[in-house]
Amino acid sequence: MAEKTTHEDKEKALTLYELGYHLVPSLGEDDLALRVTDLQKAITALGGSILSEGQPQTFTLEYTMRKMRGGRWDSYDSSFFGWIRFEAPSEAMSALKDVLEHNEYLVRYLIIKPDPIILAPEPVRAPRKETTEVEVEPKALVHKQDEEEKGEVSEEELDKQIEQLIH
Amino acid sequence: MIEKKKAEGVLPDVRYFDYKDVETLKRFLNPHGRIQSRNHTSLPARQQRLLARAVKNARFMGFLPFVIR
Repeated sequence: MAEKTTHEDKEKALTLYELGYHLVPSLGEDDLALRVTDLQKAITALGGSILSEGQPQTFTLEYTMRKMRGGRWDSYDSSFFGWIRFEAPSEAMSALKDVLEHNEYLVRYLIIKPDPIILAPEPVRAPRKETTEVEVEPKALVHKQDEEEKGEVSEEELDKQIEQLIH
Repeated sequence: MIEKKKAEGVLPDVRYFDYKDVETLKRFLNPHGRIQSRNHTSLPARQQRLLARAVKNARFMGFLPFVIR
């Protein structure tokens, strides 16, 4: 009996998913809202629950996408991109993919399993410690002092040395 | 004893690589649009794999080009 319940629990277990979609750019405002609600209904009908979503916005694609619509290839350089984050049983995903494949208003879609960390709030970070001053080795100081002492040469001595070098 | 070098300032402060976050992903691409190696990114192996997955998803969805000539 206990095994049965755990099996049922596993079946009902919900997984976090994110659906990103590109809708055709030719849609009007009303049509756009309709297509988005279609997608939401498809998710909820399969036992999913929507957690959050990004409203579709016009987006210029980095490359031209092609999609077969009505027996011919259509090319798209821009689209309406939106996303829906939802929880759903993993068994329902193949059915959802079928629905999305047959949606003629979708140019392209992507379903990912995002890291649950995205639902957690941003951690508060402790302020950074101030950097400590780097200690200069005493040897280096001594060398510098020597160089400075050597560097103090009178002009007469310098002239003599130069003359010696020339002759 | 070999000490591990820490590349402070180079390591990005990223918790999660999102394929929609193009600006973050672009920091890890070279001028040709290829994913930089771990030598350049200084990311842990797991993070590097997540980065690669996010970049590939971003390319598929038209957020990033496959090739920049």
